[in-house]
Amino acid sequence: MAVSVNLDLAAVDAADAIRQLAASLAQMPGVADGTRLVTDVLAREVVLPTYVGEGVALPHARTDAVTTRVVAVARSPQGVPFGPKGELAHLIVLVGCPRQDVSSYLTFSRQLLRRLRVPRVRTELLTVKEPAKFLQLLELNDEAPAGSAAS
Amino acid sequence: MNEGNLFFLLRAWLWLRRQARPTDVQWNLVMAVLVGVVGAGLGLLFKAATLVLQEMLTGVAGGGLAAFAELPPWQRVLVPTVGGLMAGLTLMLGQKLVKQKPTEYMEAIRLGDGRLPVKSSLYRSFAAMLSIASGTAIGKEGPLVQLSSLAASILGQMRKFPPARRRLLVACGAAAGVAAAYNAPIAAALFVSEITVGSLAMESLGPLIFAAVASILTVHVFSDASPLYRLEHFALPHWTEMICFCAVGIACGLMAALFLAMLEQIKKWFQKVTVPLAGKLALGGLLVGLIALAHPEVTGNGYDVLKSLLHGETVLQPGEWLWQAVLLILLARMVATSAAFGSGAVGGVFTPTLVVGACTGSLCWQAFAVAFPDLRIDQAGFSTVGMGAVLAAATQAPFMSILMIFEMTLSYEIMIPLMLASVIGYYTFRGLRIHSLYHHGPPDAYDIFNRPLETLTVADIMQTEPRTIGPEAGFGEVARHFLVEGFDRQYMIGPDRKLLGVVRLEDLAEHLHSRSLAAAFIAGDIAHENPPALDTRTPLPEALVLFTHEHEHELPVVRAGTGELAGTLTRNDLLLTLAEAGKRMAPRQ
Repeated sequence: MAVSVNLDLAAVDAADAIRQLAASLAQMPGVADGTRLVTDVLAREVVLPTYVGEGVALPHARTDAVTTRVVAVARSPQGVPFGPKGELAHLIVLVGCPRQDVSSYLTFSRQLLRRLRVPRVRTELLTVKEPAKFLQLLELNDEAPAGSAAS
Repeated sequence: MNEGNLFFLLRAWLWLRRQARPTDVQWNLVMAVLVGVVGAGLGLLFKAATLVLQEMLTGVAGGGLAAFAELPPWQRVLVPTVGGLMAGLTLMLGQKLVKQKPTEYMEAIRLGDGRLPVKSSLYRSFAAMLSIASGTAIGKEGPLVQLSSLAASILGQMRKFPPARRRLLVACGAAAGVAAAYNAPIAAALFVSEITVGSLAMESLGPLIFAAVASILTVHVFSDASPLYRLEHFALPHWTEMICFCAVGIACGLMAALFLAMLEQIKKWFQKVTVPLAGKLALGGLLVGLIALAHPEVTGNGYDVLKSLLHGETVLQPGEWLWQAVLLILLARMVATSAAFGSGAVGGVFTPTLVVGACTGSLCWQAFAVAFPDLRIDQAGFSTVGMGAVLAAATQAPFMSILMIFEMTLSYEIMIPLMLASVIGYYTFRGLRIHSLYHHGPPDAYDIFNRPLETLTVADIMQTEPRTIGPEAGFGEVARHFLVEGFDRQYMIGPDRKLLGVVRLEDLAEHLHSRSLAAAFIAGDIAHENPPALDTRTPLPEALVLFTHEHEHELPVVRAGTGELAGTLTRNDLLLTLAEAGKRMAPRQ
């Protein structure tokens, strides 16, 4: 699984954030078509915004643009308007998943969302300095190849 | 109900479903129980209504043969005549409104593709009620079976069942009706399997048994459901006596043939009479009434005569049955019943057939009692075996007959001579190459199972109105649908009803309790796009190939050309259809 981290994201809106996060994945192994990844995640976001509350957003798509699951995590200190009423997201996780992969897609997203529901975890995520620690809090570090945990 | 409770319920439900894996075959069982309860209820209502009508026509309370025998002679003639006239007028009126189908005995339901004609079933049942109430010599159980099947057919059409499943449901209705009519659930399931469905495969027998059991339990709640003709003392016969029962089997096979030939012949005579149907039925009623002047025993279905033969006492006055009396009853009954049916009356022929059997058995006993003075078996034993043997011969359904008599008498000892004589009766009759009682004429054109297999397509046998969902539907809504509707597939369609994907329960099963997923996911995220699908024009063998390839128990069906979702087809419905159509393709004997 390819993972990218950006602890200081600045984006004007959800679409901008998604473009930036997807761009950080474009050169990763497992991404067959970076442009397509952006289009598909944006298209999905239009149908129903993925803001889940508590300053967390999970833009995602099942798409042919990737051959394995890819994840881009970002922290935005000033926040990105993501919710249907313009709610600000400070923690944004973009997930791209191969099309045939319904069940593990749900398993992975659920684990991620479960971590993000814990207030203590969210507080720490908003303060940690090291990308590795950030991934560890999300329990993503085991899966991430060593070299990819930099932005 | 809040979300948490709902998810808990859903999890429990899914766990149950995963353990039990209910398929559409198992759902059929649930529907069968429903049909059984409804069928029995209708049967009880019909019986009560007939009794009221009979009291109105005769002016005597209680019903049955005793009531009829109390009537003065002129009334004995008048009541069946007027009843026949009224039944005939009902039929004529009905025929004006609905196209009439050839008369058949009412116990045998034509399953077709599970769409029974509603109006004609109703007016025929009403005409039968008039005939029965006025004492015409026909079985009163036929309309029970007819009405119960009709209810099942309406239910199947309301639920938009595909033809194969609708057909099975109607068969369940028939089984429920037979079970309620004769207090014989085992034989009821076998009656429908052997005669109507023509198979003892468990796919259909299972639901039939469920329907029969549900029906008999319903009857138990509302009325007495004891065996109709309980046989008290019957010792297992000695092997030498079994030879006598072999003779009974042969005699019964021949008598069944004679009875059926008589039914046919008198029907032909009546066809030559050029009076309106009401006149014919009145004439038939008049004939029954005239015979009843001397022998009131011929009226009705013959239940009271059977009871008295099995209890060894004459029916109206106490005393032993003399062979002359039995012979007279036998002949009078055959003529009266033939006259009733020949004139065009609708009704059942089942109990009259049993009377023919009981009389034949009784006559055999009279002969053997003279020839072998130390014969230990009494008349009741021979009459019972005779009933079974004539039934097996006339219906050409020996399994059903043996079990029917067993359930009616609840005597285990009778089984051994009964089995022997029934099978001998069956083969004797078969050797004569006559059509059996419930032999159906040319099949209905509207019945899709009669179309050549190669002209049938998926559109003919699919279930319409599939469970659909839009791509934007939230995870929670998808989950609720799975809970409420109890299926394991939901089909995602676009605004133009084009099939976009399929949501599978097994993908979601482990994740349903996650509320965060409910907030972040929609049907479009979890549906499999471009699922394997059948075309409405796909021929059935090709559909079977796709099922085999995909290892699916259900496939969506899209409209040819447009890609619109038209329905769904289950593997079981396809197999049931292929089996039924294949059976009809086989050369008939």
